[in-house]
Amino acid sequence: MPTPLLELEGLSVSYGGMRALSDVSLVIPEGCVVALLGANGAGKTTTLRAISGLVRPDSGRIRFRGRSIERTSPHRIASMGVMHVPEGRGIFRSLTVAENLEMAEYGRGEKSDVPVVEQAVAQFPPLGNRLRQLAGTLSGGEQQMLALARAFAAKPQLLMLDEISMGLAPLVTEKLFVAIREVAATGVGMLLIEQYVDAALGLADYGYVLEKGRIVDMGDAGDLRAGDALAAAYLGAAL
Amino acid sequence: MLPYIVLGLFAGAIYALASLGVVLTYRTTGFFNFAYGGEAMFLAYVFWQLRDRWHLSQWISIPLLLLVIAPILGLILEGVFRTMASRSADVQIVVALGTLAFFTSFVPIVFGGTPHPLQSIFSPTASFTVSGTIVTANQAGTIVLVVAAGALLFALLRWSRFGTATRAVVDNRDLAGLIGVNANRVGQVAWIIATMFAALAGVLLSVQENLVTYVLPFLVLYSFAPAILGRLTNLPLAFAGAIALGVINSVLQKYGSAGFVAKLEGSIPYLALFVLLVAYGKRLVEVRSSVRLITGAHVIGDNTKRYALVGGALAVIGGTVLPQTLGASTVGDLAQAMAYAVVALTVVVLTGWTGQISLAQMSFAGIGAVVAAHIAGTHGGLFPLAILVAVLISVPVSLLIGIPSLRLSGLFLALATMAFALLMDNLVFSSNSIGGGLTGLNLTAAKIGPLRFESAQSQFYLCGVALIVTAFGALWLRQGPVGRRLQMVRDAPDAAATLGASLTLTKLAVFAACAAVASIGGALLAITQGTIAPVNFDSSHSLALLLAVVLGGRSLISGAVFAGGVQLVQLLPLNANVHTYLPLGIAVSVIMVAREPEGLPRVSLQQLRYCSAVLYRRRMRELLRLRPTTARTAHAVGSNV
Repeated sequence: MPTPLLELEGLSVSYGGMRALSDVSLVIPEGCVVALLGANGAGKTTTLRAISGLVRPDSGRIRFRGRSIERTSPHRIASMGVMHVPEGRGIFRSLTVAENLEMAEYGRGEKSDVPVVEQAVAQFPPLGNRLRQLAGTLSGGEQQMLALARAFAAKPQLLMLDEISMGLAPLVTEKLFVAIREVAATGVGMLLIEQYVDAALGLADYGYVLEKGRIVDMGDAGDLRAGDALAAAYLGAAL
Repeated sequence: MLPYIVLGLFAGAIYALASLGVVLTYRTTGFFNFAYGGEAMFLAYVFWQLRDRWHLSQWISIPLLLLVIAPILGLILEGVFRTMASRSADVQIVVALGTLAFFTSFVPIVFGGTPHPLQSIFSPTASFTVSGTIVTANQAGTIVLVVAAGALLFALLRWSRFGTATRAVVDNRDLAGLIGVNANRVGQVAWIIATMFAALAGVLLSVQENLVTYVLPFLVLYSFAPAILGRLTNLPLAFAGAIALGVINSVLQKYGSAGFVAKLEGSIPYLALFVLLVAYGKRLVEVRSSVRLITGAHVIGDNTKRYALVGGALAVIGGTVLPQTLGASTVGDLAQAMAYAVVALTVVVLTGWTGQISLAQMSFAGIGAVVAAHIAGTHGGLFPLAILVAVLISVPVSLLIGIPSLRLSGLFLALATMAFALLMDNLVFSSNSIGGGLTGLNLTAAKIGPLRFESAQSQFYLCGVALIVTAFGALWLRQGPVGRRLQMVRDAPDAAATLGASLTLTKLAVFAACAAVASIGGALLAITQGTIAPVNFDSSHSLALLLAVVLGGRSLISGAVFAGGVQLVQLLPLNANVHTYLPLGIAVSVIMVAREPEGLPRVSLQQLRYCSAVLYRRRMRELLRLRPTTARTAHAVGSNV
């Protein structure tokens, strides 16, 4: 088996004595899209924060392309090609749209052939006439487009999206998903957290189900959709 | 008019440089640098050493200062302050104040305390005339240099990739990290630039004001008002504000350079600072406040009885033995130290128990002392009335500060009280009719009813009783409902706020009570001192008091006693070296133990246990258990990005 893109092994994280993740193991093969599912407080966001270095795990390993990164600082992890778009508009509100996009190249330290701004506008035309505007003044959907555009422009090898559809109209969400699908098709590995479970599983190859900080189920996206464990994880064990 | 404007532009330009430095580090690292004036002074002295003492060419000494020494100092300070990044606001403020105290005590030791003139880095004699007004090369050069430095900084932040990264870090530190920006590196560069500005400001200011260790750090405080005008984030506004302040101050000189107007001139920056803080109120937002949880709240609980027993026993033994065995002058010093401890107790209640940093407690004590001297005076008869009046003055004054500024969070309350203390220094205590001028005021043989407190022994008993009464008052306050509320405010201000608005009232009441007690302590100090020099109650003494209490343990009654002990050491006729090095030692220790609410004694105890554990080869796990437990909770609760 080739080295997976990302591998979590027995990961445990706690916040001030409160266990948020216990013994989580997860694999993302190269070029695969993986959905992370579970109810509120199950530990989805914490998993992403641990991978991108924002929280330090108590124990366990995180390997990106075989390299241990659980003690690496966030900016280094980002430079290695892991892009985390956090929950709730991952943009710099006080910077202009263009500046936000230009930040994509900061971590990589190299310029791409097509200027990032041009590339982003091609992907999300509504951003085109807002380049000089402060990002904080954009609408919710546009802010999320900007966050995605910047993440895409950084040319990540692993893209982690946390609730990208939160607070957006279904029509806007659909547009974003089209864009995500396009990028996924180019072979970028992805780890998704998404409230629209069906949409997420439609996009994903595999899914993992978290409940109270533990992985309770995993499998093929189609199988998960059909199975009971998913509903149980969201609605409680009674089902 | 024009000469005054030129002069104002010149002075304003220097403060503008300092404001930029203060705002830059606050914006990028969330650390308000109280020590900025200290840095500026230190670097100005270094320049003087290089150029005027070692006779290095200016072409060597200036680049050496700006490009080597200042950046190194900046990196060192950044390193010190970064370790405090996850600490609560009060710890950060204390560390910054400790650093200020470090510079003010370190510089006289290294460079000598006597003032020196410093020649301009521009041609000292050249000048030219603009429509009838003589402009010296120093003035013109300063203005040009500052405008160039400001423009360069602005351009760097606005148009360079690094500038965008800096603004990204300011906007959202975590997110910046997620897209590959090294926030620590950005912070380092900000500190380097700010320290270079401090060096420039220090040199330019020293040319104007000479190298004087006890003046320079305070002059740099002028830059705090413009910094607040820019709400600690807006560089151009801070720059413009500083220039405007300089011009206003200078134009005022046209209308009088003596008496009250002159004093007002020196006070306008502090007045502006206070007014701006109050006017902005809740619109001032602390950078990165989300990570600033108050750490290590200490619960006294069952220890109270033990404290009371031990303290009572010590008091009885000390009270019977000491006055009989020690000489009269030592007993007098002890009395004074205990009166000082009474004032120190108010710092424990305010800082240790409510997490509010007041830099004005000695000013309140000064009110008490001055009022006591005026009313009781040489006959001493009306001392109880004096105490009453002192309380009646200090309580309304404290409400005047407290009502607008208690809505502010830690840093801004500290700034507001500092501004108040500086105003008291400049306008009230320095007034000859109030403060008694150079000769000071006299208070002999205060009488309370039939008791006369003329001898050192009688003063010893008076202050001792006062200290014990205050200590028990504080304990009572702590254990009752008020204390529980204070604990809530200190542990979780937001959670406490959701439980009802009365907390503001509680905080205000405590603030006023502390002001009243401090003024009584001041009146006692006045009795023990006999001759009152208001300079002993100025803002620098409030700072020294705070640092001494932090060192002794700001959450403990014994912390106040420790501060009294520090004062005693300074009063006793010891070797001169002790008096020289003690403030430096305190400053360094404060920086090291600021995170520990129980101060140096606690840290020493930990170290001792650690050493003994190593000696007895205990198992590693046991060693780890002895580490301070407060460290871990600070990082614990992180918000989502």
